[in-house]
Amino acid sequence: MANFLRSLSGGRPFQGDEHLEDLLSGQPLPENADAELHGVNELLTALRSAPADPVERPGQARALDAYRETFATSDPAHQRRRRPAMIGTLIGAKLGAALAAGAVGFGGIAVAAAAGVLPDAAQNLAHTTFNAPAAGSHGKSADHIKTADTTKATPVGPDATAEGHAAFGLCTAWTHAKDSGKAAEKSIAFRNLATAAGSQDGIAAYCLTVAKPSVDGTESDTAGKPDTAGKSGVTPGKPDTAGKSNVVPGTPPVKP
Amino acid sequence: MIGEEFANILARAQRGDEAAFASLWLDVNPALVKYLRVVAREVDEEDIAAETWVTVVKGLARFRGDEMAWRAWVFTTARRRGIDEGRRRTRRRAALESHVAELAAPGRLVPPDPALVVLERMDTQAALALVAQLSPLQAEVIALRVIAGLDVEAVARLVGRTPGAVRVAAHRGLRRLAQILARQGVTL
Repeated sequence: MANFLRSLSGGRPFQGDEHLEDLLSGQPLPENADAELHGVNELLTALRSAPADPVERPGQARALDAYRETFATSDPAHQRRRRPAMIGTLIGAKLGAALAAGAVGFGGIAVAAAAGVLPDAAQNLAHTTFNAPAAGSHGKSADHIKTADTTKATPVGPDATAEGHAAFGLCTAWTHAKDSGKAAEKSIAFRNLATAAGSQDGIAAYCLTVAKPSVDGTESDTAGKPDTAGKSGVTPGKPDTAGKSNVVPGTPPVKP
Repeated sequence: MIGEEFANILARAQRGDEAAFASLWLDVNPALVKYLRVVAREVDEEDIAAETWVTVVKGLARFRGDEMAWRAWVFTTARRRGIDEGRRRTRRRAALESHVAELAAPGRLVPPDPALVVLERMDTQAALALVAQLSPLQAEVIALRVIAGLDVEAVARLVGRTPGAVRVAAHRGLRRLAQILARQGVTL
């Protein structure tokens, strides 16, 4: 400690110098490092940790809006190609969730009813019971979803609400089940979710864009493309970790 | 940082995959906001971060490079944005020192030692405030290395200094931080 404090005043090298690069690159400090360095290490760890700052959510919405304007709307053909497939796979995922993922009973029926895929009699019962789409409304539902998606409106109604609940629910279930490995691989619902996401590896990123539907249905995700990305608890990267990348540095960026 | 999956995620984002772009945003933006809090306190860092992403999105399809280059590009864009906002470091430092003084105010924190309490409550905001007590170069270099995760060479290009100068500034900044903690009587 004495050496360390003397070095502070004189600007000379001190015992901890050898560890400074470790501190900067996030490497663990050896236990025998100076106590003062452990204090600095704690400070740097706090710097790396993500701020609990909810005001960043609007920033996310702005960024996604800019992205949509640049990519999605400039390539309408891309939208047309992708939408039907995603809607279909989501409906399949919801049905799979009802039939195969242990969603037996009212909950499972509710998911299927919300998707509007039950037989007409059952669908009508569900419609009057908990505001699921009426029987025969599949086509209308799909049209509504498509329109809402391309105009970025905040759709109101059972169809869009069900869509958001189903997608969000599947993502939530996947988040809890993924650690076990088995569920994510074997469940039909999760396989369908992987199909909706494009791949098994893409589920995490896909679920980032699935917003948590509001209770009253005034704001919901329609087909996995929310106005604001939802909280999924799935973070592919480590936003608060500023460690060194193991990616080999390559060509410098081309200045756009 | 994303790591091995970065190239794949970037490629998907460049093809219009919104989920992939959301992953990129989620990975970088928290660090971006913290960096801006260090170097551009008197402006709205959230606003600058959002404007930064608008600029990044416009050039995203043409970007080429690995994850380090990607982060360097995003932070360079943010830095230019911050400068464009006309920030003045003296005002920033004054605001941050005021923030630190507020954190350490005897009546505000639990006795006996305000500095100790600051450390015990070493959340991100307090840590950012302490780093902001450094010289502007030291603060920015440490922010870019620790928060942005950039290596020495990338930081040197970004701030327009030599790698040696960046190392010296970072080490001096760390010493200064240790000094601040030691002077405040913090023991661990």
